[in-house]
Amino acid sequence: MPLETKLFGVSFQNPVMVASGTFGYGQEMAKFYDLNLLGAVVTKTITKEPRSGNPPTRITETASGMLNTIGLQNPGIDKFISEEVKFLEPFTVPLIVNIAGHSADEFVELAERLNGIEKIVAIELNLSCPNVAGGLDFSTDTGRCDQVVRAVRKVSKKPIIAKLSPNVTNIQDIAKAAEGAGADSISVINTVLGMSIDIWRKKTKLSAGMGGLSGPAIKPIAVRIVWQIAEVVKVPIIGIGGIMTWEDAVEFFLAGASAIQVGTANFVDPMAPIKIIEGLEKYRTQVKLESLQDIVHKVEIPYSTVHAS
Amino acid sequence: MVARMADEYSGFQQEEASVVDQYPLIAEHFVLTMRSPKIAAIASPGQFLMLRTPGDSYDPLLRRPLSIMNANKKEKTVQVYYKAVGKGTVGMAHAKEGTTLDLVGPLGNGFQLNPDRPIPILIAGGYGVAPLYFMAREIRKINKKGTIYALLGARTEKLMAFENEFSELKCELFVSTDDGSLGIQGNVIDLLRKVLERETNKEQLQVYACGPHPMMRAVALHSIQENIACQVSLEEVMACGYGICMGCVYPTADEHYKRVCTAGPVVEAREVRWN
Repeated sequence: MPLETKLFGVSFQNPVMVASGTFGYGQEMAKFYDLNLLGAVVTKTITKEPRSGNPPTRITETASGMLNTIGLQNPGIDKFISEEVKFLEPFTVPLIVNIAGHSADEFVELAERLNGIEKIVAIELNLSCPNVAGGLDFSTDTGRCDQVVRAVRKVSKKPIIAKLSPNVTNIQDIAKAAEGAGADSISVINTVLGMSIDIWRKKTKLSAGMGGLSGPAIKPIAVRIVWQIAEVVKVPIIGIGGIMTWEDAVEFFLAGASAIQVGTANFVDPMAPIKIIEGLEKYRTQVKLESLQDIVHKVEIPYSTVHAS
Repeated sequence: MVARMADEYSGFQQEEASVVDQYPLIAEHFVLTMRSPKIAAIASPGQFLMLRTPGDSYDPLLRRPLSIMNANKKEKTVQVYYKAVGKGTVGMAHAKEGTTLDLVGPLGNGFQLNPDRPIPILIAGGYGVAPLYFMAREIRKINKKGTIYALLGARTEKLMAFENEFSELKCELFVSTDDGSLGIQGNVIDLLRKVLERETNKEQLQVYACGPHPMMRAVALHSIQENIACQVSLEEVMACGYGICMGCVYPTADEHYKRVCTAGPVVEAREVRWN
């Protein structure tokens, strides 16, 4: 397979995954195309208890993007294992399950529950969901990030991907903490904290106030963060943030990502991930690359003394 | 690479439609007719489309939800009725004949005929009138002579639409405007009361309501109070329209959230937590 990508010991037929929270558990998107064409499916975040999520209005469009405050609505780990996983059983596409907990203990419990499910090739730690009361943001602090990753590392039999927030002061310190604590990979970025106001009602457009910004508007932030992290860690990076086309994906590879996730694009063009896979293969052939991995982190800064890391 | 697997008649899919024509009906409101064979073949009243604004721009980013006003299987066309109110819809209003439009549909659960309740009462406000017009057409196809009530409410005469279309379908038409410029001065609840004065056999009745949320809330609560079967068509801001973003939820009577695009948009009035 020309786009084959090996990450943390797992072989993916291509580096194009779908991002957590933008794909449900697969049922809906299976109506548009064969899920087996994807590099991997990353599920909507699972938590220990079922969550209803935030009251509507949960989303609002912004310039070249959208804000969301879904609030991690999900059926909980029990129902996920007994029902949702069943839908994905007959598919060969690798499954990555995204989990979130209120404490390191909850992350550990979730990781343990998932150990036995063979279909799951890795777990992604949602360390940074901005849309839940109390924050649930372990990734703004190197100590808390280290604590969760280390605790999960002790019990998990699967590779661990630490998904980090962009809403931090020093992303390089957080990334190094995650790597040092045993993460096999880092995925960035989660959504950027934002707000939108209805000037006539004098209220925030989202019922819950702040929300997470996603879509093309955040791509430059995401590319920058991938690059900054690639400068200081050795584990593979999975790039997320405003990827709509194969050209966007190549930016992320050059910045330092070995694989990418497609998120908001799924809402706009349901065929986006498929088009990106096709586009990347054409690009690889056109520029005569053995593998896309050959361009990972190969971006040059023409005059680089200003932003030397 | 064979990527598309959607079976022709098994549900929603993406289709490249082309504009047949477009015309304004009332101020800022347009009727858009598109050639869209796959969607036209299976669309039913109460369902909707997600339309991507023509052009390559990421702004506006998201598709726009549009209720289906009519689907013509023979002509392979679908019609939508929409208000050109913001970035996306104003862009659509300029789409000329032959323009390609990227559609996903038909989406959601539409109005359901209830064989136990053979007298439909269609209650419409604002651009909610369009899916109910579609419903009236479909009911007439199988029920050529029976009573169909059409209760239309608008703020003022200039904003009233489709009265002639409902009359042509031989519906019992009742009209209200806030300012009394057409029909009675009042709202659709006043009209519903009038209908209930003459139709005392409530078990025969089925209300189908579509319009602004406060209107539907009033119709729902009144119907529940009078013990009349009532289906409402819900709306909520949506990103995808096909069930993956979890944005468009409504609160259910049993304290959960369900997606308008997959559990609805048409739901039983009793299932909603109306507050």
